[in-house]
Amino acid sequence: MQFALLIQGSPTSSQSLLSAHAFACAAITAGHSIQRAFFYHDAVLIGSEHLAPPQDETDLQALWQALGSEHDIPLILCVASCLRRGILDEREAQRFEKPSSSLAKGFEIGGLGQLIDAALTADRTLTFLP
Amino acid sequence: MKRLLFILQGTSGASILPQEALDAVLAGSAFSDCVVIFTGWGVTQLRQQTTAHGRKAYNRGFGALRDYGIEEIYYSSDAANEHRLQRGELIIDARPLGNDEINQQIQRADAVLSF
Repeated sequence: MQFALLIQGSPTSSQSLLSAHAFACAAITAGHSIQRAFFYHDAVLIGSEHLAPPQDETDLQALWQALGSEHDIPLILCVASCLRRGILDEREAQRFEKPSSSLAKGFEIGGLGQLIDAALTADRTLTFLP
Repeated sequence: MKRLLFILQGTSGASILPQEALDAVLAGSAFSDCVVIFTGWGVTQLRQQTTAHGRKAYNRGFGALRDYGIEEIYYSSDAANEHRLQRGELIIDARPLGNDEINQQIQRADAVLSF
């Protein structure tokens, strides 16, 4: 079965990203696949290049980057949510005249159309609320 | 065309999530038949006088849902009772649903997105 994930919770004040990661790992282990992970609302903060968690805490961003690259899962951050929270790729940084990109490796910025497409084409869509 | 159900349960004024949820609903309307159900604390979004201090009155945008072809707009009657929401307070024309009817809507949908 092919799953799409809609993740909404902040890396620091919600279990949403951890739960979604645990689900994705379990699904893959069971022979399923993750079509796309779409990060919305505060969950887009997972794609900030400036996250620097303490060494004795779980590095959620590294977990997602590894999952995305090892299993070829697109990690899409909603552009509108990103702009509100200061996460910009090179193109958006230029457009808004900001000094630099703040998007971490392994993540892409995309539009809501990618969420709707995922929901309409995956076998199941799971939402991880804040 | 596929049927996409949006369940809106975020508290009005507590965060920007309800506003972002409305954006997702409007995006969905471009690709599928959309149904919207307000449940739980989400019914508080339907109050006309609900704007939090310093926040955009995003819920006026609910008036655009029908312009985007979204005709099926519902709310949980149980949640409305719990939050003492009167029909006269609603910012848009929406129909109350019982829990069984909400379950039927979930069953009929090709996909469900919750916010």
